[in-house]
Amino acid sequence: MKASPDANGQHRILVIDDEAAIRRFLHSALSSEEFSLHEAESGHNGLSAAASLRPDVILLDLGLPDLDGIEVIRRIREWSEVPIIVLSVREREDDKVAALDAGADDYLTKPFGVGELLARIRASLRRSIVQSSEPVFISADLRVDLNLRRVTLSGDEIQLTPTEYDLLRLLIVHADKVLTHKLILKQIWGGAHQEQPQVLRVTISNLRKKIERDPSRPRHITTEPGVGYRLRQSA
Amino acid sequence: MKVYYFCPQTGVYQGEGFEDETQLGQVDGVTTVAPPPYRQGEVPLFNAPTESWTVRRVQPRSGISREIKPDWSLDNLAASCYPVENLLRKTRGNQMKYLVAAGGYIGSLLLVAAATLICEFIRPHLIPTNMVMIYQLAVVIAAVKLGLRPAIATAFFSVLAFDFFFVPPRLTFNVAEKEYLVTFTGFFVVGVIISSLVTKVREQSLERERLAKEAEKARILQVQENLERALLNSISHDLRTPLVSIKGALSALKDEGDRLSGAARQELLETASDEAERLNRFVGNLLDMTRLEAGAMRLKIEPSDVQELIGCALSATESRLGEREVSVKLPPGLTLIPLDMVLMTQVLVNLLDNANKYASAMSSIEIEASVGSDWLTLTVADRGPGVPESELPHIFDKFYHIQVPEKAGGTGLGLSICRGIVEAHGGGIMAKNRAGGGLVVEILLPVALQGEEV
Repeated sequence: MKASPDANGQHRILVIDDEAAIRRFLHSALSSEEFSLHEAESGHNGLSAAASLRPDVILLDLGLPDLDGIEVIRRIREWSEVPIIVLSVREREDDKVAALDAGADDYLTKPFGVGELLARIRASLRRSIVQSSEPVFISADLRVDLNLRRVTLSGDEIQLTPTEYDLLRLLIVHADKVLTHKLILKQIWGGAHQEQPQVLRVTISNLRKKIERDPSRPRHITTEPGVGYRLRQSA
Repeated sequence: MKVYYFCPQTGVYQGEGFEDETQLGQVDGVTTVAPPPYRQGEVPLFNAPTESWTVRRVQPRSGISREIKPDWSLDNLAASCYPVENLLRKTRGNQMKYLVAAGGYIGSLLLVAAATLICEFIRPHLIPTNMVMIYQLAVVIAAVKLGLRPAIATAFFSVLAFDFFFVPPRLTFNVAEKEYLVTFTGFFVVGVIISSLVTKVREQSLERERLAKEAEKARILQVQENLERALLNSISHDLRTPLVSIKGALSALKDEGDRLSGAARQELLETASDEAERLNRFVGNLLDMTRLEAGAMRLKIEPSDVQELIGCALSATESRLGEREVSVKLPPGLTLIPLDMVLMTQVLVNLLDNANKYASAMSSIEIEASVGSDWLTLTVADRGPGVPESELPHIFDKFYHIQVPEKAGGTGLGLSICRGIVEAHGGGIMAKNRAGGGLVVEILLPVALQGEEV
């Protein structure tokens, strides 16, 4: 599904959250010339609104009274690829992983700032508009030419092993999106390695030593503790 | 005086002497008629001698519900439970009194019989007057073991037995020599005096023991109550302080926004935002603490990269650390260490926040890791004021605050959570003062997987 602004030039955002205060806050914070906000206060209402409204982005609270949030994601994914951003509380890392594995695009930990939320919404819209990645990825000092398999840091060429390059490429294809450990392991090492997260840790560590200025303060590949990794794309 | 609680809603008695919960009508030997109807603010009182209820209007007694142990499953009803004073003591006591008393007199008869037997054995070697000493011993024993009245009874029976068995003519109550009447009187009077003195001493020492026990009990209760109050004060203070700032800032913007300068509005907004962040951290800590204490924190231990761990903690504290320099020293080729990434990140975040809070903004924080054959050592060191040596062992205790400048405003939870998490990993955490000023917190984590990890 393409995310295209409607007749007014606005992107439609559907908020599915049972907390009236949060819907109210999102409504006043997001409604603008850029976005129009629509609300649903339960999982079932959210599902029917998703079908009738065809939103460009869905903000989904996992703790709904009537339907498990993971179930909402699964049902939407049966017929739509609309970006879903999950709103979750800090303690529930397992829920975040389950939501991402069920097909959610991203998550935000409550409480969150509006700036962060807007960045995630825009990143989701960008991903759904640009179906295939640009052949050249540029973020700050990092430049990756996907056609030539060439990686440079501030102009200096970096030598990556084939596995490191595949991992970086996977992260670039899903730039700004959290990829769970499980998904990365499956994509890069195949099903057999899904139970061996060490190999992923070591590869990430080696990759960071090559592309990060300070591997103790990674700017490109950031860790989402207990969930996965995210490649940040900055201007 | 014992106090029993009667809960009118359920008809349950609670207190010493009852089984855990005793239903109305189940108490042996106690009249357990239901109390008459009464209204709020009235208390049904049981009058033991007449075995009847009266209703009296009373001031609500604060503290009653606190005395009820919290393990009482009906503690939500505690507020409507009333002390029924003396209910058991009087009624159950009547029965017991007769039993105990009868036992005492039987005991005194046995003592006199024993004394008589001994006297019979030594009769060939002693003149009768000296046998009095044996009987006097029986009186003393009765006074110590049986109490005042049985002791006096012992003295009385002793006179009779002495007269009957040993004073000539024997086996009659007749007395040949009238001098023996003086012996009898003297013996009885001395016996009574000894009895009353001994029982008085006995009662005094029992009373002293009881008072000491009660004082100890009251002291423990007081300590517990003080601790609870301190915890509650601390929590409500830590919750309310940020709320006060947030509400103040927002109401100023809402009501006076038009009259404020742009800079003032910005400052109010930043205050509200920072304080909301602080409140969020505190609530998170409180939740962590609760989960740690309830044993609900399940570790998800996986081989983890220590540099990644430090990176996560630095990125979580980035906005608060601002321009402060944080140096990271890691040995090359550090192996993966089994740990829970999320929880250990929390530990480092709490330590960094702590260092950031106490050390001056100019000073740097140093994070260092080293690994031996059994343990990984992680240290977070600051150049703050350190901690007085006497307080060092306590800083990981729950809600422990050291005396620091007011700006700090800690929750007293962060470090105890660190300890809880590290110990759940089978590791240890300690703090020491640095040469040249500042505090080092050292974490030890086992390098090998522990037995019970996931």
